[in-house]
Amino acid sequence: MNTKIVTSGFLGALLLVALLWVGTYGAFPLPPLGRLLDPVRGIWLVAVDTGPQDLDVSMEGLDGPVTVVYDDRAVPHIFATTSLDASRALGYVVARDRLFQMELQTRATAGTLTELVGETALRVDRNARNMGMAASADRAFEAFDPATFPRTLLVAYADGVNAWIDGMPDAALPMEYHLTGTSPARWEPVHTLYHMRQMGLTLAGYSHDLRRVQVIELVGEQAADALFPIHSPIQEPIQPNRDNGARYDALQVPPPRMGGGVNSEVLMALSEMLRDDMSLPDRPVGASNNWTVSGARTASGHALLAGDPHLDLSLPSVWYEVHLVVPGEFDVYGVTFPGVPGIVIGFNRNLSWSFTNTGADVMDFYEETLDDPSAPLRYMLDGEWRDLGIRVEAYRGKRGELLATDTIYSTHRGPIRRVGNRNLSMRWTVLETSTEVAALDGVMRASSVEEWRAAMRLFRAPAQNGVAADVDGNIGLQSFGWYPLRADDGNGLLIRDGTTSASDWQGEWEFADYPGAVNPEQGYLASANQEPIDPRANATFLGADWYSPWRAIRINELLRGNESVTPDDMRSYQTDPGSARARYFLPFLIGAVSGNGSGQDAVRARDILSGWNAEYTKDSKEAVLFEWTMDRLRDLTWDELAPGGEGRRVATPEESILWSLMHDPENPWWDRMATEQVEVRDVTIAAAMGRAYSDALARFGEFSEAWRWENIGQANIEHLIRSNPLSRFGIPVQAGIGTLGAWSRSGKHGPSWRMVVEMGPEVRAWVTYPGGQSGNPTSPYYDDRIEQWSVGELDEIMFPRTVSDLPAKNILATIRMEAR
Amino acid sequence: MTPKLVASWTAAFVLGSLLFDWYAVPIVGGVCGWFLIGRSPVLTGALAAGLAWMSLLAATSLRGPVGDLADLLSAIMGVPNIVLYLGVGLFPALLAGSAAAVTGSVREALVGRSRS
Repeated sequence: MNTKIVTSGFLGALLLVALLWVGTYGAFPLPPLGRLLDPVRGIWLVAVDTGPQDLDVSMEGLDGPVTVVYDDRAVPHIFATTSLDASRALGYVVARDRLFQMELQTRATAGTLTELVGETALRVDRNARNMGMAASADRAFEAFDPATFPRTLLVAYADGVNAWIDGMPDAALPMEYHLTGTSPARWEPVHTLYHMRQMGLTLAGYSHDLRRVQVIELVGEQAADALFPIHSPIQEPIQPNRDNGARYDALQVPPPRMGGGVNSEVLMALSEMLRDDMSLPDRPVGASNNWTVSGARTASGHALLAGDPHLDLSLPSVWYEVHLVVPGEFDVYGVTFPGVPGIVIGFNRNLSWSFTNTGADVMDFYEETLDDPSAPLRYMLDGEWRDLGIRVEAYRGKRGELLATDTIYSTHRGPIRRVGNRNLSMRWTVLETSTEVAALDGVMRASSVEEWRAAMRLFRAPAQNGVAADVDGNIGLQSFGWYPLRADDGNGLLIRDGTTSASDWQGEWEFADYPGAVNPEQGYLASANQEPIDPRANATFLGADWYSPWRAIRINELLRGNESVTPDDMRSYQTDPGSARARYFLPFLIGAVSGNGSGQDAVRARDILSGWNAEYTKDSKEAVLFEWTMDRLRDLTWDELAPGGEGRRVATPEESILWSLMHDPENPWWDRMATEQVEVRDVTIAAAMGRAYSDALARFGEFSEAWRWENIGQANIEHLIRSNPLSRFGIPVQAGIGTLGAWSRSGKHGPSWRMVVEMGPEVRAWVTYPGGQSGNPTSPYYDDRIEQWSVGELDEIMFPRTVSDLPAKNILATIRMEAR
Repeated sequence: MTPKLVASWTAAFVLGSLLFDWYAVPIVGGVCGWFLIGRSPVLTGALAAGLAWMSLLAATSLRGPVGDLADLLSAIMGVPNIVLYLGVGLFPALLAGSAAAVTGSVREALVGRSRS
């Protein structure tokens, strides 16, 4: 046989096999190239999907015809004849725009990201499964009666999502599936419960208990109790306390106990767990606001409501805007989480509502005694051995291959984590609830503040401060959720003895005792993640280490000072640059620097800050210096909280504690561990100001326009897969730490939705969010609202009662759904 | 290899890709190698497949901003966008060419055996 033919055939075969392999499976880091590059069905088709298109859909199980009309902001208005059909259509349209986001978030909760992206996600998946969120959701779903609400609602929603997946044109497959070489997974009804648990993790997945152990190890129990107190030293609660302004309850901070007793093994183990463990994240940034004003204090005489929940800023956004109409049942507009069959924050014809996070302590740990720590089967309770719950979790890769297995143990309280040589079981309200979907459904149908309060009683986790206003002029504010009552003194900050059932939760708060108010004399109500109730009104343990109430102070100030509030006032307040925090601290900073003894840089800093109006406008040059001074001041003051006096602190006290310390100028906490001499307050403040000034000088040069706050105060909106080209970074915002716009240091957390509603005979509303309706990066609706959001503007929404109420010029596309 | 021949096979690759999947490329390439014995089957198959996919991409660009997408993808992948366009031409070319080489060799071996 001709050698040339053999060689040609052999080389051809080798190349062919290699190309087929790379085409089918990819070669790290390349995804499968055949499907990716294919100009007929590959990633190029993403460019074809540029927004909603007219469509006729035949869907199995529909009770009647459904019409979905997209307005020119790409908001779908869904007109259905039954609530289940509305749910089906909602699942369909949300999947159309956000399918990959829905799957990614589901997998993050289920701990199956490895099946999408491979072994790199194994650690994240292990943490998710250790938390037991998906397992608890599965149990809750199984307990629902298959034939009745809310299971029927979840099934209807899943039918809608899957109808989209089944009929999806090739061009609509999200880019992320092309890049990962995967296909959309089926949407199961239980996935909605996964999403609710994921939100629970985001908003209530923080434990004070373990961090407190670290702080105690470093500085002693007395100091720890003062630094992370059960009650805020500055009281401006959501339930009005008739103080007509913030009240300062003097707080004594005992000196740190230094120089002995530090158990480095405990510190190490906890540090590892808290830093690296996604399941116990850093404390979320608290920055949501909501407030409502009665008609007695508005220009129109109608009640007004504003809400701006702050969450991680992402593309696509955590929210999806939609309008649902089912005659005789509801006509409701607002935002939903992709994956949840209903409006979470919004309004109907009679009622508007919004939420902030309560921040209640709903996660406790118990030290368990196991029969065999290396291969346990039982745990000790009340002198008897009890069987452990044992679950084996298997992690699989993109092609179904087994990557790892874990054995997860649990007691009657919840899953067990090993921390050093201790076995800690965790009880967490988020794992034990399943009534939130029913609560949200009830709220969509509520027509008064009282009906809203009744519906929200079902909302158990994550605990929220809800605000509402109705067309009859009623306003209300109320904390909702499951607030456990603990044993003994009720303190939830302890790691309790797991061998006795006396350590278990003893019950829960009576609803009548929950913080809240309806139609208060002052004519307005506001919440901003502060301690909800004044301990002088009710001192029962609800949580600890509350966020400093700077935003609450500011919004109450603004509302007190305006007896004729307009919707545009409400809008402007959402990006108000005024900072109560700066006003509280500035006198101490300026007063600390007395002369050249403080150093030239500190004197220069004092002179600059002396001329500041405490407003974080984009052009403010002083705000940079103030913010950096506060950063340096925290580092210098709380150095005892970093093991060895430097590096990462195990925890940072709230600034309300730092402000309390200002009143105690010789407190040993002002002394810096790194120096020989003993520093007092003003010396440390001057050092912080000098450092901040020299740092700013090094970065921006002489004090000039280059110091503008907008060079620092920027939002960074990151895509869910953390791809920079898909993200939008460096967006200037008028916000600082503690202002209502609430800038975060990373810029990755902020107002995820802004809404102002006027509850007149015809409800009017203005909204925006930092993103767009579409998850497709080439769509004009991917990031079209970011510019508007960054300058604090809002869109007035269309709220049609019927399809024909929408002007034709404002209609982008129509989807007509019929029963198959 | 004539322009007419390449155009015919280009049409075959376009049709195969439209009707089936990217797997149509090696199959059509294999057919090309089998039937074009002695008429540069590898080059003809490779050229025709590359042209077919580039034509299909051009057609897709009439329906949406393919250029913008290529810019975005090149930023995500950290490669110049020309690499992506080249990929659309080269990947099917190599697939079709290698498949043609395999079937062409088999055919030639069979023909050679029957002659001997």
